[in-house]
Amino acid sequence: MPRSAEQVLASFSGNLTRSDFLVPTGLVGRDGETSQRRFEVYRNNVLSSLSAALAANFPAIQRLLGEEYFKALAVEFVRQSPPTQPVLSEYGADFPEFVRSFPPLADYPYLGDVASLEWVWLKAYHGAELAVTAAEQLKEVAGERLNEVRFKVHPTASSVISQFPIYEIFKVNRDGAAATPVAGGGQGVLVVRPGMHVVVEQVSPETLFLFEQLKQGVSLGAAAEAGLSQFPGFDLGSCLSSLLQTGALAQVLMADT
Amino acid sequence: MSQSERISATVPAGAGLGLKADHYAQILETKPALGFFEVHAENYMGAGGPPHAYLEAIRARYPISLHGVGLSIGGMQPLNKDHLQRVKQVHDRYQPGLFSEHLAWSSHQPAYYNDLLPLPYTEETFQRVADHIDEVQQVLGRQMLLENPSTYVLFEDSVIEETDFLMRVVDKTGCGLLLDVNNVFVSATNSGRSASEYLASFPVEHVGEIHLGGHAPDEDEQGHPLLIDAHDREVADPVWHLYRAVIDRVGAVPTLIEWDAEVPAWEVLYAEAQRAQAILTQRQKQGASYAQVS
Repeated sequence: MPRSAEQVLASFSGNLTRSDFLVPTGLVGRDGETSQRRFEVYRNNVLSSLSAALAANFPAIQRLLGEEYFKALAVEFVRQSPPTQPVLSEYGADFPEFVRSFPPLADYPYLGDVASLEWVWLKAYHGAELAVTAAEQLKEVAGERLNEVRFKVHPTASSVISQFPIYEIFKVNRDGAAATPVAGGGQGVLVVRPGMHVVVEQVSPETLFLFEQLKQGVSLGAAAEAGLSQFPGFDLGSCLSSLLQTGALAQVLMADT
Repeated sequence: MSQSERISATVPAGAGLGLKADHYAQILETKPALGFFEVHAENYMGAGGPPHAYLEAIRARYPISLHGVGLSIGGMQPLNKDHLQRVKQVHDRYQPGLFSEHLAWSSHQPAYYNDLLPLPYTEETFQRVADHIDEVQQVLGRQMLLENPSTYVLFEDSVIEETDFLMRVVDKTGCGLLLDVNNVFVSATNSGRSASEYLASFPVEHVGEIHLGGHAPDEDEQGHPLLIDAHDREVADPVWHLYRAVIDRVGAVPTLIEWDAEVPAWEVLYAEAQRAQAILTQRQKQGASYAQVS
């Protein structure tokens, strides 16, 4: 009985990401014979192009692992979590978690957080535009009303907190910054794209706390109070100014202006 | 930039190049003479960012041909409606002079494979492909061009010649065709057939665009040539030869050089486009002199 085209394509696709080397039935070369080499062209295109897409999205991880190791890791990931839609700049949301829990990489526990930072960078790069006017707007706000101010956080702004020095690792492996001895200890990183360039800044835990509060829509006064209860000596002025400098706080929202 | 500040959308019967991020700045600085740029729709589906900023600036100066690689028109499952809407968004934003997709599939639920995979040519697949093209043309509100594939295998299930299949799809849907001359050469070589004979039966009167690209030579386990449609080098001489014959036959048609892997310096890419342009210009002069004679 002839097979339906649906069955033919299902069999073809099922063999594309398998690790054995089965050729689907009904596929032949010019002599009418089954040809391993010919089907391998498709399998190779699929695995190579999707690995290359992951390398484009996670270049620091590729640099840290080397091209060969990265390719092998990426192929494992592709087999387990192939993309489910055709926009490859959106492929790899689960890759940081995959890296984090890949047993052979257990001795490199910072890799997962570096991958998370690369993913956030990618989202910022392709994220929505919004003009950054908050610093200018704040100058117009009367002093006694500053506590009421809320902010519209930039749509591309995100933070990553790690117990590892991921900011330095990211800078050295993406921007070609000179490698310096990295002090131990964790780092908080803020990522935002206020214009054409993605800004990646290391910021204090207090600053990240304020960012998360303001992102939730909390007023500046309430966020400052929460900050003081979390961090003795919380300095609202310096935290606010570093958030404004990066462009993470895009616009001031006032209840009645 | 407002759309009124843009150059006309119409893609002229000249040579164009695939737009590569590496060349954005140089193109905007040097404003090279070129008929059009072609972009992959899937590369411009983010909400914002530098890719859109550059494409806006380039669209202001050049007509654009929009080329989809992810609709999976040759698939047997329903089209991905969300993805089709995203194609429409890019299409409506940049108002391309041409829109094209492939006689191939790239998704099979739930996976997207990022390759242009072949299908058997049967009554069943013909119906499905025609339905998918109807849907795309309806959603985009325009005619699309369907591109002939490069293939490495043959299906025992196939009962329709590819050129007949394409002709029937054109008749049924009113779509046009994108003739990829390199794909013709690659598929013909890989299946042990004649590229010239394939072209002789190709419905060239429906061709709205031509693609030229480079291929990589290999061989199968029987020692037969196996050409890979790699787009990683110059267009091969036999492909130029076939191209010239097609242009002699049908006249000048918008022609794209595809070079997507191992992308060379801009000058190398531009020289390939000029080579195609020279053939088109020569044909246009001949066309003018034929007209004078008649």
